Amino acid sequence: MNYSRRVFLGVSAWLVGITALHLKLNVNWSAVRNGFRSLARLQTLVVGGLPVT
Amino acid sequence: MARNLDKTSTRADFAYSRYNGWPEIKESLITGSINAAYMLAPLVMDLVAKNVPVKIVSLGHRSGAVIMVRTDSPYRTFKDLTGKVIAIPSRFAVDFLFLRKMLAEEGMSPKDVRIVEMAPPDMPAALYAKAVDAYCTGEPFGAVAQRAGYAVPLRMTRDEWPNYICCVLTVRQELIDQNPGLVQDLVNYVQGAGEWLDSERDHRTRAAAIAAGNKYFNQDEAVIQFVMDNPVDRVTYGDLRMIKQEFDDLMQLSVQAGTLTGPVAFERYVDPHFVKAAVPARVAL
Repeated sequence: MNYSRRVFLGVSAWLVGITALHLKLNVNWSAVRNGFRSLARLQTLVVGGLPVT
Repeated sequence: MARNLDKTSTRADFAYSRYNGWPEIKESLITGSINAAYMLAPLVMDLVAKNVPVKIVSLGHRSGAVIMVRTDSPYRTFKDLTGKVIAIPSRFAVDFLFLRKMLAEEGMSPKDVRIVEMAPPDMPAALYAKAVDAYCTGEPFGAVAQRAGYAVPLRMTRDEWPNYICCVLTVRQELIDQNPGLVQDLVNYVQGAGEWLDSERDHRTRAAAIAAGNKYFNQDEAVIQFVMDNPVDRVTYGDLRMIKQEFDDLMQLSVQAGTLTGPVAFERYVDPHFVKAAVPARVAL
């Protein structure tokens, strides 16, 4: 495998890994799914809150 | 939380989404990226005054705010804090109204102290480092410093304002209109969880273990347990009735504090029907 191919594969793997991590950690999937449903058919109601009384 | 851990339920889930600041949660509710949230009551009044279609459908708790000073400080009255720095979470926080009320009882006004806004999690460290002389916030951030031994409560709402209201369950009007059954279900669980929490001491221990997790408070379990036990009415959950007079008083205090530009009618920002019709859910934990 030549050098430029190794760089390309490394960068691609990094990009895929970082994107997957971002999607897991930073995307509220319940909110995304809810965006495609009418409020009358919500399957998950997301309730926001701060960790303080 | 009680609903999702209740394995006897087969209905739709509720998911808790933890935020780090009031502005972020407010924006999410305004844009509809979430349809329900625990919000500061005066913040909801302000949103409604600006024609944002949201309604309060239940209280979350009563009491639970403290004003903390260093154990080794000479501060035992508010007069002692004249000219000193006091941290609050936000001008919209009911903690600010609590502070104003306590200052007024000693013939003082907010002009007699230096008030700074600060995120509650930063307050214990700021007091420890002497960056502030006192702070006023909701638990568990009073208990964090008290349990560590370097702070004591100067005033607690349990003594001064036991029916204190702060965080309230707020939902978008769209959700009320399109799915009132789901809102009722949520209120039933909030009311049921409140009754469950105050019915037996062991329930508070179990709740503290769950709430301490990184999905919720992300705090040392011993700190949450400290809040539950010292004393047991430091925060209360058993009376989540929505009483018009209490909201009117809070609204008037907010107007006096300048956080609201004018009065807002109770009927505009509260929908009491769900609490009135509530059948508190059985919490099976």
